[in-house]
Amino acid sequence: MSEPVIVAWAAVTAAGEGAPDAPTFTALDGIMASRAALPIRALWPDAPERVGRMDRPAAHGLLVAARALAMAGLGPSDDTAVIIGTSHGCAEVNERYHRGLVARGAEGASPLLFAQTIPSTPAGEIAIALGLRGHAATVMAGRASGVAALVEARRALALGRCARALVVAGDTAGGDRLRLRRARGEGPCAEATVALVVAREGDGAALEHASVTAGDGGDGGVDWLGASGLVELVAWLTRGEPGRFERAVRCASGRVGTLRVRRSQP
Amino acid sequence: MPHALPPVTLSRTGAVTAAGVGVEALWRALLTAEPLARTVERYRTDDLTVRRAALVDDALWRGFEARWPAAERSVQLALAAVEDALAGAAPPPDTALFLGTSLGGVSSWEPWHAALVRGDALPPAPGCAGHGDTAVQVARAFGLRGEVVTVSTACTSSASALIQAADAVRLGEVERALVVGVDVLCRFVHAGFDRLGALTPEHLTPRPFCADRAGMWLGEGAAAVLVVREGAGVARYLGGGAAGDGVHMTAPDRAGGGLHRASTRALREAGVAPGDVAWVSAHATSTRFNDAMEAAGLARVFGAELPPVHGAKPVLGHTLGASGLLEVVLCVEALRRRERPPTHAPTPPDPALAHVPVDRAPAAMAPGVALSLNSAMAGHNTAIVLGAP
Repeated sequence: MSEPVIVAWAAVTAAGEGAPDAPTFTALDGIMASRAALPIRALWPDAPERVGRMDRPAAHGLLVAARALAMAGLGPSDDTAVIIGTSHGCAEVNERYHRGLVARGAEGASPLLFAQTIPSTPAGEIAIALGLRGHAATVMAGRASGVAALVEARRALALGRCARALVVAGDTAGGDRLRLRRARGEGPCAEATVALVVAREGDGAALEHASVTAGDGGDGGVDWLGASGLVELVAWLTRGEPGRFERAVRCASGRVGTLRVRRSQP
Repeated sequence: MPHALPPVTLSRTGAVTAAGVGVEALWRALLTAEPLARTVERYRTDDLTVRRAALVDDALWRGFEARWPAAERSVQLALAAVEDALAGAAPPPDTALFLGTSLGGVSSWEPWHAALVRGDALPPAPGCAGHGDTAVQVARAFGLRGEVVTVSTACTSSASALIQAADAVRLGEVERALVVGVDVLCRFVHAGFDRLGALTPEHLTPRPFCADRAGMWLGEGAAAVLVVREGAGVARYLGGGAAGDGVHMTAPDRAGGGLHRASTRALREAGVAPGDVAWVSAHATSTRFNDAMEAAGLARVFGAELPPVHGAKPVLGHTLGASGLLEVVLCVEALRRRERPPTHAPTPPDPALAHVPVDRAPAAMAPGVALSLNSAMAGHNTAIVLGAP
């Protein structure tokens, strides 16, 4: 397989736009978390009106997707794939919908919220807002979800499913999911969403290797949830450092994502 | 016409549905074309408009629980489907796992979260709570050490999982891939579809492409397919395509654009022309908009002459993320047996969709390939082309 190239990128974290090397944690629901309160309207004044009705994963995903596509100079296309990687998916919407159902019975089950209780919501919202109607996929592999999305992007490019792939990986951290994390003995986490545009050729960094295999144990780094590994990759890309970026993202949830990117020019 | 991409082999298939354990049970149920849905008693439905669904029989359920007592229900169903496919043998440890699910472990998360909302004492935290947890537990149960990925694109989840698995095998990145589709019903999802108005009233069975169709009934189940690069098997996977509508989050593209793009890709990849398609397994939810979209998309693919079109969901219920792979298993059987099962369509066709030919009795399968179609909320569409071994 020829090496695809990462030609554009964008990220949002609790620190705002861009990928910091480390987040600032605060205690939320008894667990240390770094959670974004992104003023999307301020960051993106001409955002589509529908962004205000989206759940946070979709809004964050659309913001970075639009930024990365603009950096790549790309517009609407049937030949740009949308590939989402997420660990928690629609967990926050699931909670909001289920709270209504538990509290008020069937009448409290909002059909509008129920329609968003699918992890592929960001893929649909990005496709609508940015006019991308080609290959689409949503993959989940714990902290290795972003790496899994890159694996799928490489395969889609290699088999001609698309000319380029918009990979959007990340999660939000909030709501009752934090309590579940605490109950399961999981550690601090930080939310982030990353977008990468991967093409068969172009100026950028070559994606030498991406894989996800079974395995256990945390990697000891910041738990950026589904964006783990990719936040650090974007920080490296933004700094313009030559050489290699290598990362093994070990998930307590049974996966190891391995990522290797090479850049020859600063 | 040469293959645009090399085919891969589907070496084994397995299924667990409301019809029971096994592909034979699935096939016999489909030949009757009689809906399997019954009034649900396993979870609360008294405040829902439509209480019917096609659940896996409680007697089977207890059998799964006895064999895998610590496993979450979606894991149990998935393990049962894999055991059925492999005739009880364990897959080799380096087998990759691509698991498609729309709900994952939501049925285990639901009571924990309900207790939290009510302020009750919390039960132990479920180990299988999110969409991605089922695959990890299935992999652990079989000791798999290869690639483990969950694919979650709502009702196209397991069809997408098969497409991704076939790509990985074609590229030689994995030796063999186990593809699983699974979803378990619970109050969370039943209430949601009820409130969306997508379920047909109790007195009116689901009936795709009929004039008086009014929606679906839900179902649960699991399917398993082992994909290998070459060799003997039950069918050949010839091509697959996935495409987004990019139009609306809950309503399909009325022109069937996404379905057309996915189908065109799958046929091109398979190296076959539309005229080579002997049978179409449609998504066929019996909702007003989905069936109309599908009819429009089929007309764009095939023109005026459509091959026979089948809908499995009236019998099995809409098994959500499992439906794509269950319908692939159905296509495999139809090709293998050279027989087309009928569709439950007891009333006259919708005049606006009359160009969609639906069998109302079993019929012989003509030579050719089968095309399996699925669509989902968020505008996702898949198409898979299958051939006899």
